[in-house]
Amino acid sequence: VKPLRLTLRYSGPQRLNLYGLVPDRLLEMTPSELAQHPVRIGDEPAQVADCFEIADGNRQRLVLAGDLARADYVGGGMRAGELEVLGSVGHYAATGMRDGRLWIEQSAGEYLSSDQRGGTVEVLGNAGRGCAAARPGARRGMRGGTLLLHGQAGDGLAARLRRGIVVVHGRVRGDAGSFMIAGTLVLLDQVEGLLGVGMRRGTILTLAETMPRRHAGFTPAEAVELSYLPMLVRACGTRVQEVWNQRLTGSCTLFRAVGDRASSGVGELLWLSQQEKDWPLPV
Amino acid sequence: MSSSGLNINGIEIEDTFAEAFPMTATRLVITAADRYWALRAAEAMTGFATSVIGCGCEAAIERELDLQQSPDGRPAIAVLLFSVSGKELEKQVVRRVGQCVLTCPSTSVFAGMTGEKKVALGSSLRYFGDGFQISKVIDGRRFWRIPVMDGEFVCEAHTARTSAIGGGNFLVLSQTLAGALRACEAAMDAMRSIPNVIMPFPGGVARSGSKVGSKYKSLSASTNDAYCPTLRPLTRSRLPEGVTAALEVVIDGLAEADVVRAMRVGILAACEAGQRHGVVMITAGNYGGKLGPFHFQLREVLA
Repeated sequence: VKPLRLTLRYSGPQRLNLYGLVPDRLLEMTPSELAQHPVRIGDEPAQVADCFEIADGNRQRLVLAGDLARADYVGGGMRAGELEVLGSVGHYAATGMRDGRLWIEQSAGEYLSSDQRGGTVEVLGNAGRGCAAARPGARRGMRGGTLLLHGQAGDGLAARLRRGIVVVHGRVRGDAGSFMIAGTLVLLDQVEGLLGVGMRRGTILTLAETMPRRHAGFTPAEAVELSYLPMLVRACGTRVQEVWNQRLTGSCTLFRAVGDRASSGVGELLWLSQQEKDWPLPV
Repeated sequence: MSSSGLNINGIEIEDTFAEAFPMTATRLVITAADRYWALRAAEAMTGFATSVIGCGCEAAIERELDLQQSPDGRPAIAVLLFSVSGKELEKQVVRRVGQCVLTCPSTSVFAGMTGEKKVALGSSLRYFGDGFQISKVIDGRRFWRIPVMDGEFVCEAHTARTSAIGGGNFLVLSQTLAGALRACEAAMDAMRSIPNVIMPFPGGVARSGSKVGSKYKSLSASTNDAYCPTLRPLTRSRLPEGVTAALEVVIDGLAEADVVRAMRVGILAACEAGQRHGVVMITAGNYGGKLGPFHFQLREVLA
């Protein structure tokens, strides 16, 4: 059965707010109710039919097509089902998402998953600033679920991350894991800024060939056999598993540091390397 | 004593039933750096767990898991614990994991079943970490990482429990003790391959089958005198002529079908080995239907 497909036809200058346009809320609607489902154009209330062409189908799976780079809150409030976006999305995607799967073919704007509480978000492209991080004024960032970002992430990745797993395959354009409260951040590529500044708890696992600069607040600690790591790696998708296996078979060893001790943090930084001194000296 | 007319390898199957009762059960998966330590932890944890009458729970190793089935990819042992109530089960799980698995080098412990009825595991044991414990949520499951002297004890926050059945059984009646032992050993070898069941007594076999009640008011159960060979002239014996030993195989299972399958496999194996060792009859223990609602008719089990 074909999925419900909404193709963007709004081309005005305003940004769209698509919070609540998710499979679980549309599930039992009649076609006319679906057409009248509320969205916002700028500050004005509008209806789905004002912005999209509707091709009805299996409501468990919703496909949004068209250039949605100016559509914010995509996947907002989602609790079940699958939402696929054939293109890019705007800011604040996956806000309030509690379960289900959000798949984005291209890139996401700022504060992707910043208020995600469950479910899985997968983005094949890049994400902007504040991915999985607390929004300005908020005390905490992502609170649960999994975010798989195949591309690059902007500055402030996972700042004040509270819970959940964030996996970034590409480069991080700035600091990552600053003031992390808990949760897990897995990185496959370089971080241009610092890692884990002010980190309270949680785990940052970096599998990058080139290590980021080590923040002075981290203290080397014993990297004992951590039996939860294989489970974590498995949950991070096939790419992370491949890199993990490659690097372990390439005679790398797991190293560990705890911190940020400068702020009494007990978070952990984990990295695979030939020798500990591969990690640059403290800044 | 009534004959069912059923006879396997010359061994009579009595026309009677095994009487079982409702329990609640959980499965835990214990992993360790190698098989040796996983087994040591599982054995310790399921020790002194033969009967709810005196041990609080009935527990045993269910099976060894393949590495692919292991939650963390290390050697893994599945154990089943049965108790009469969810509260008692939780108490036993926390005590036994805390004293026998947490203490055993290199081990971790995981929930072996899912369901809505939760049993606290790591959520109680985490306090041993004295504030250094770390929570980790992976694929929607919460794990506690508790620092210990060999590294970390990883323990899933909760396991689940399900309704189950305790007290499935059959008795092997033999002309000699040696014959009864050989037949029960064969039954055990066959039954260990059945999933979802345990045989909680030592080696899976009990020699002290009990009846309900006693002449002493403080005891709720006492020796099953009808099957004691030394009491044949003193009591209403149910032992056929020439029988000098009766051993009982007790089975706890997660569902009726599991108990039936285990009884069938066990009885057939006992009859196969027993024909060479003087086994004359297979019967079952019941209390006239007063103990529990599950009645496993031997005739139907073997049909």
